[in-house]
Amino acid sequence: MTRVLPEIEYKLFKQKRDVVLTLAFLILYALVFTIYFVNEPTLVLGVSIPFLYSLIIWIGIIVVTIIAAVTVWR
Amino acid sequence: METWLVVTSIIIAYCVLCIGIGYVAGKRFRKTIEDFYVLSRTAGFIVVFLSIASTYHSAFAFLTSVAVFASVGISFWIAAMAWTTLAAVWGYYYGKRVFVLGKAKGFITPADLLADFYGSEAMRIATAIIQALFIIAYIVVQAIGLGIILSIGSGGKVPYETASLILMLVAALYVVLGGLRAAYWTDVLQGIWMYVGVWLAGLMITFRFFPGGIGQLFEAVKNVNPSMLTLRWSPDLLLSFIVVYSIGLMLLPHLWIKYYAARDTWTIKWSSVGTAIYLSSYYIPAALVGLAAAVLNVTGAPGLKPGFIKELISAYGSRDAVMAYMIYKFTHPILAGFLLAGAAAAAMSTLDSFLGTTSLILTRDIYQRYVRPKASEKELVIVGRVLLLLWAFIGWYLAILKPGLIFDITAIACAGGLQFLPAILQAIIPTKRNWINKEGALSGLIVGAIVTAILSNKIGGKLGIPITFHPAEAGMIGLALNFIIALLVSAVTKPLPKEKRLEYYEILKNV
Repeated sequence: MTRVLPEIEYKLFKQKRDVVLTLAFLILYALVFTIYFVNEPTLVLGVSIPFLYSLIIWIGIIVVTIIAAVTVWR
Repeated sequence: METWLVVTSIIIAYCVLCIGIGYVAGKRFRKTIEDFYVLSRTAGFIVVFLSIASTYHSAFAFLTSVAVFASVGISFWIAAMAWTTLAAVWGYYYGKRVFVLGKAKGFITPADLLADFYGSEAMRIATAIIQALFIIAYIVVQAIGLGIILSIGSGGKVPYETASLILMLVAALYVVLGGLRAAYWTDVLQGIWMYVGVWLAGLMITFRFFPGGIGQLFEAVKNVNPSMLTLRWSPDLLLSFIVVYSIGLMLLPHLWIKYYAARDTWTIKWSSVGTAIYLSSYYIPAALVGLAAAVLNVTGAPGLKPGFIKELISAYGSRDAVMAYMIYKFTHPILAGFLLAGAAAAAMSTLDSFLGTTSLILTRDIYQRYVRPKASEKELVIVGRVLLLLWAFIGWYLAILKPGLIFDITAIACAGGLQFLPAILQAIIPTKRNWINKEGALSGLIVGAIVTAILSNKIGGKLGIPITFHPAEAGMIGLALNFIIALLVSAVTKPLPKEKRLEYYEILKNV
């Protein structure tokens, strides 16, 4: 008699917020590649535009990481 | 007292401190292989966080980042802020699963996990050999860094080769004395020291030459070479760097086993957050020094001739010495000693983990399994120590050949680590369908690793392969082939037994 094994029903995303935060990460990392559209050495606020743009993305990634740790990560 | 004497004395004092920590760690060692390598799985937040952070950042962060900033400008920051944060996020997603599996099944090495999941001893051997070989590139990087640091710190009185050997032996000694427990403990000290050091160096050097601050520095860079204030790497190179230095690096065994050592998932979660902030913010002061060096290389300054970077390249085989040179020349001797000891901390905190991990892999996955299966724990520890010293000497020997920029050599090791991605993904994500089986994972891994090596300009180029790439790009090509082969071979061969996949599913279903 062959044993019937249960199915594997693994959920990578346990809740909706998990999906939202993963999407937020993906968008932020995709934004890194949009720096080519503002790739000029013009200085704004004392730094170049690509540098300033990357600083904003970096802060966004750190903020989303902290939000993920507080709300979703276990 | 002369500058070189002050600086060298402080570096020596730092080394003595590390050896002392290694000795104390050794006293608390419980003579089991699990305690020697993964702290009996009891590491809390501070140890795991600073251990991952300081191990991740090495001579690469303290030396080559400044060198690359000085040559390509802010491109390095754009890529590095992305790869360091991605490393932390990926570290959480994969590290948590590796931790849970390690705890449930008593894994100590990466090969333990992959061999168990795929039910393949061939997988164990391939994992151990590929990791041990690619790691050599990383050991070489630290050996280069340590040689530069002590050589410059001693005002050139200790030659590069001797300097590298001395500091390599210091790291090897404290790991021999206290195992990876010593590495974890020294990582905490080194993690704090190098972070404080890089910020102090960055701010002091920048404000010395550009008292108007960052605005004045950027203005000066714009006047000298405006393209340094833009993203100069092509999109494919940028993508390769981001993936290889994040996912690839985190899959190397020295970081992989840090997750086995963690006490719980809370520790991993907050270590990941801390790591994201620590790793990425580290590059801000490095950027300041690098950009300042780029300007001074053109304009010169009192005590610094224009074109000084070219002289450093001829002396050390690459521009990696820029940071150490700037610190030595332009900070107070006591501070220079502290900062260069911080640079040594950056290199040693990675080197110790690599030496310990390589000896672990070779001892547990090869010697214990295939050479002396009945070896006692004590014998295994002794063999581990001998192998550790052997790998240190191999790394040192290759480093004295001055193989080039740390940035490029590091990429070889990380590109090798990246080849474990397909195999580990199937193990930590229990999918309904078995996409990758034993044959697929093994063939993909081997092909990916070989392709990565031969397409890398640092290896394939030396072998006369006509078309080669930067190691990071070679790693991405290797990964693509790895995935394709793993999926194709798995599609035409027998899937993994469902019992094994269910076992992993049961362990991971609530993670």
